Amino acid sequence: MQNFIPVKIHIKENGPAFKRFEAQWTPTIMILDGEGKEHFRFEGFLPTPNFLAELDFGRARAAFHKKQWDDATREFNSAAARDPKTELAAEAGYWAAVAQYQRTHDAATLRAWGKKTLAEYPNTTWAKRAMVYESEGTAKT
Amino acid sequence: MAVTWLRNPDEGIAQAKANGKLVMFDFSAAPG
Repeated sequence: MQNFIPVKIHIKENGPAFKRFEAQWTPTIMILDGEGKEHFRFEGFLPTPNFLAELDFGRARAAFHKKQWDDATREFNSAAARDPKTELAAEAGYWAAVAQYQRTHDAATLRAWGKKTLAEYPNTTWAKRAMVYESEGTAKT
Repeated sequence: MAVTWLRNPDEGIAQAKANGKLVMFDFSAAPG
C-alpha cells in the first residue's frame, strides 16, 4: 500500500468518476500512473493475501508497460509468491518470463517457464499456452 | 501506519506524478 497513492471513490460522493473511469461494479480496484494511464484493474472482494497479490500484479503491469523488465519480473514473481498455486500465480509466471525474454531475447526463459507451468499449473489456461514451449526449440517468438 | 485516503481522483493522479508513484483507485459502494 505504501507504494500507492490511495483514492477512495464512493458511488454516493462521486458517481461521475464511475462513468469517467468505466467502473461498472464495486469494489473495483484500479491502478494508474501519474499520467492517469490505467495499467490494471480487478473487481470483487478478496482475502488480504489475494488482494496484495493483485496489487503486486498491477505494479508489475505498470512496470511492464514502461518496459522496466527487471522491475516487472520482480513484481510478477512477488504476486505469484503471495498467491501460489492459483490462476493468478500461473499468469504472473507467464508475464515474468515474457519480461525476462524482452530483456534478454533468450527463448530459454520461455521454455523454462513452459516446463514449470506444465508441471505446477497443469489445469490452467496458462498450461495450454505453455504447450508450445514443451519441446526444446519449438518456441515461436 | 494509518493510510490517508484521498477522495479526488485527479488529486491522486497529481500526487502520483509528483511522488513517482502509482495511484490506486478504490471504487466503492460500501456504507460508512
